Amino acid sequence: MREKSDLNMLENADDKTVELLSGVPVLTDEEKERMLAMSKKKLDKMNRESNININEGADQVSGVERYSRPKWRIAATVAACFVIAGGVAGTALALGKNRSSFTDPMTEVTTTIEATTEAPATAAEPTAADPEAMTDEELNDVAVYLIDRMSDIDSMASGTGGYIAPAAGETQTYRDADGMIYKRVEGCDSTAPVEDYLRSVLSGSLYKSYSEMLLGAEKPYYIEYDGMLYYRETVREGRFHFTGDPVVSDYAEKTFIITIDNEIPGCTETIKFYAALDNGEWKLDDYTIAGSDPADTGTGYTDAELEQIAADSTRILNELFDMSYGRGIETDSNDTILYNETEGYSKVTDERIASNDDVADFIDQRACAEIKDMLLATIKGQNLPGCPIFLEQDGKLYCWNTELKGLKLESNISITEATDSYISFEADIADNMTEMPGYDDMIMEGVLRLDNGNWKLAEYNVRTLPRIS
Amino acid sequence: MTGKEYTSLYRKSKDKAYDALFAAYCDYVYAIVYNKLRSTASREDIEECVSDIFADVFFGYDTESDHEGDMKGYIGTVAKRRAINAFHSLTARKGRIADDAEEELVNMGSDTDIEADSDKAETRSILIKKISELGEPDSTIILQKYYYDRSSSEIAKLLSMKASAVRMRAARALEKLRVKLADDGIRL
Repeated sequence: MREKSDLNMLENADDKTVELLSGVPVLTDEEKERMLAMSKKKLDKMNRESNININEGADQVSGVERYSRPKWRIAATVAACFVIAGGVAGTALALGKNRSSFTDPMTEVTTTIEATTEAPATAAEPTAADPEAMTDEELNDVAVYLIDRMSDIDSMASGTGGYIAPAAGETQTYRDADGMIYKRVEGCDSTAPVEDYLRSVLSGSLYKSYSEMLLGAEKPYYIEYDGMLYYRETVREGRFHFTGDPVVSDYAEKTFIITIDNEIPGCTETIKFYAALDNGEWKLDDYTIAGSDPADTGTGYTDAELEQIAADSTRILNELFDMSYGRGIETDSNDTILYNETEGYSKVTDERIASNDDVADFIDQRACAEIKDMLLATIKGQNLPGCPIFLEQDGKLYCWNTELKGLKLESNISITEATDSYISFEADIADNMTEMPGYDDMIMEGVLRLDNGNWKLAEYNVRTLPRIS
Repeated sequence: MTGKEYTSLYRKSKDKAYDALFAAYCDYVYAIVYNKLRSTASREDIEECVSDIFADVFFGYDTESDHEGDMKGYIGTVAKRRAINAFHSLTARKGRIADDAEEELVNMGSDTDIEADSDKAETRSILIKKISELGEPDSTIILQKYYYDRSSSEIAKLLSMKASAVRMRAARALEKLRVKLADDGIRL
């Protein structure tokens, strides 16, 4: 989040103040031209989509099956969910590909980054591997090095920087045809250093997955333009947040396993990376999540029970989000009031709620801790500038007439861990949150806790993922 | 620009109509979006939102109607809705509780919202008055630098001044503003 400067009291101002602020010359001709061009481009897309819809409608009267991307399913496919979260590499594993196939050509690492790019200093590169003479200590050094580099590459693939990133502060930018903004990486004139860096750490499916994310055809993080290297910064969260020391096991002549904990919201998962010798270099080839099978949760829940818990939890979460965004509330459109002279509110006729206190109780039964406070603030208009979701006037409750987009779960959550009082989950989020560039599929990771007899959302985090077609 | 003027132009040339509409209202729309997303979004996100709004207006405005009134109200409503949705999407993506949201929670008095809103509006009004009392170009520089977060070199280009002059004027004007506001018991 950007640091606020001194005049933040002008934020969320009334219409008159905004009108006055609009008189301050602030946009350059270049910025205006850019925005206008983007608007026209978006308009073209909307027109094309509109035509497609009209044509579809003309051809099909009923039984129209719209395309939808693959959705997650409930607990039975928890393992698959994890591999989706991990990217294409994991998917390949789930499909049963042979991990032992190392087909990447030998690439001698000659990464020479200058100026603003500094190699991570936390782990020194180990000496060339000699499988005949690898001691525990040497293996451990290799593991530390590889995990450190894996973390760095994951940062590069989440748009937050890493080894090869633009310098802080103002730098030359480039906007591609899709409106993506890239910043120049000083000292690099091509994508070759990125490619070399990837090849020095990864092989097999992990290499392919990260290579696609960083340099692939669709929304790459690095591009070459006019003889210079550019990087796309985003706010996407990385897949890996390692904690603790890596542990080496299962050492064979050309492979070993590195086990390390990875913090995700609500819980810590254990990841096994498969290291393999690739033309004399130790590289990470793939990974799996340990204990991702629901049978391993140790609670004794059957699949059917977990399925029921997932369905119930999903219902609770959607009820919570719908209420917080004022969605699906029954209202009387003939009984309306105006707020702030512009925003229309309709009288609530929904049997579930008749006052602000009822709304607060509804939230309280489904959320706790900080989440509850945040949603209550949203309803009061604290998080939606100037517009509460519900208003009480003359003893009547009114709901804001707007179509707010927001969190919505389209399919049941996938339970990653369940005890008598704790459920950690992952869930797919509806497409209505993904219209901004740089964001693809979105996943919610969260925790439900049993509180006063009700399962309540205790924490959540939203992560964006590269779209898997 | 009235709806009638826009549709008349639209019938002759769609592209010219879009250009004219954008030229007339881009500062207004940018101000609305910036005001809502200032603390949450990057400058690129804000530009993205502005372009979404104009795409919506280009796409959605009924070019068959000859509305005599100004299009400002319509555009302002579309802009506010879009900006609020963008705010929501961005804060949701950034995780459960943003730093500022936590601050807001601390500052929030559940039973005194109206009073607090009224106080805020009054403070804003005094602030705007004091800024305008600085005179030009200082009042513009202050808003460009400390509200719109523009760099001195960007402001210099916009106002055809030297960046060093902008920096000096901004620092002096801010100090003056602080003194003026202190008289009214407001601290920046």
